[in-house]
Amino acid sequence: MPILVNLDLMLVKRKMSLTELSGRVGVTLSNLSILKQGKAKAIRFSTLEAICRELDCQPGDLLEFETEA
Amino acid sequence: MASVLKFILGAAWYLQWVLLVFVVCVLVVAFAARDTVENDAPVNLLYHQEIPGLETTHPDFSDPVLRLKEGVLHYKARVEWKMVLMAFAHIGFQFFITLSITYLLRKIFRTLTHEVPFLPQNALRILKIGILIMLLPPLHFFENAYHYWPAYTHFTLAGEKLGTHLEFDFQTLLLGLVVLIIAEVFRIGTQLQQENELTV
Repeated sequence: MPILVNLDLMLVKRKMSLTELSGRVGVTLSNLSILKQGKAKAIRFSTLEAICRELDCQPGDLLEFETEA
Repeated sequence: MASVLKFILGAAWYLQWVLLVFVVCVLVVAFAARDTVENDAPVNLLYHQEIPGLETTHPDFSDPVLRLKEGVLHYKARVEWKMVLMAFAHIGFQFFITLSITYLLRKIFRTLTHEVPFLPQNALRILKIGILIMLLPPLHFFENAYHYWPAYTHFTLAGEKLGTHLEFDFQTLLLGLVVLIIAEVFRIGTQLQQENELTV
């Protein structure tokens, strides 16, 4: 998929675990895991807003477009 | 409602098996015990046949004539292997279709009771049910054509051949088509559900 999710990098930068982020944003751990692994088909703006607020980052820090070779 | 459906599906499943065994036993006994079997075939006459002796008691009616153009040809046929084979093949195909439909419905119903109906497997099962339903009209048509062929080819009335009823059940075919469309809707619904499940 051309959209890469850099959630794991942001979690390392902010020294936060996925479980802690799950509790803060109100999204289940399994769904966040799906997002982190790049298996998600879509993300709601409300979820993106909550993650950016808790990780103190921009959407562009989390999402990256990779052109297919 | 769910319990009623479960009961109906279960009853239909087991009753069909009982009926299949019963019909097979009856056929075996019928063919083994006799040298001839009696056949009935609806026929059409090419011309109206007038039946004499008709009378009326009403003063305002006169000169009654009974004209018949349709009837049932009843005859005995010697038991031959082709006849036995066709009878068992017809029973086999008929019960294969109905039992398969019932089996697929029971499989779908199990997923309903677990509240996960939108599965790719269910879309495929509904598709198979639609195809099986659409097999019934041609099966009946060819079975009737085989059954009525002797009436058309081997019997005459006053030198004229008899006609036969051969109707194709377009309504059941249309019903099968409806089920195929529903299967396609189900397949797209399954895709939407999967995308929804993968939406964070």
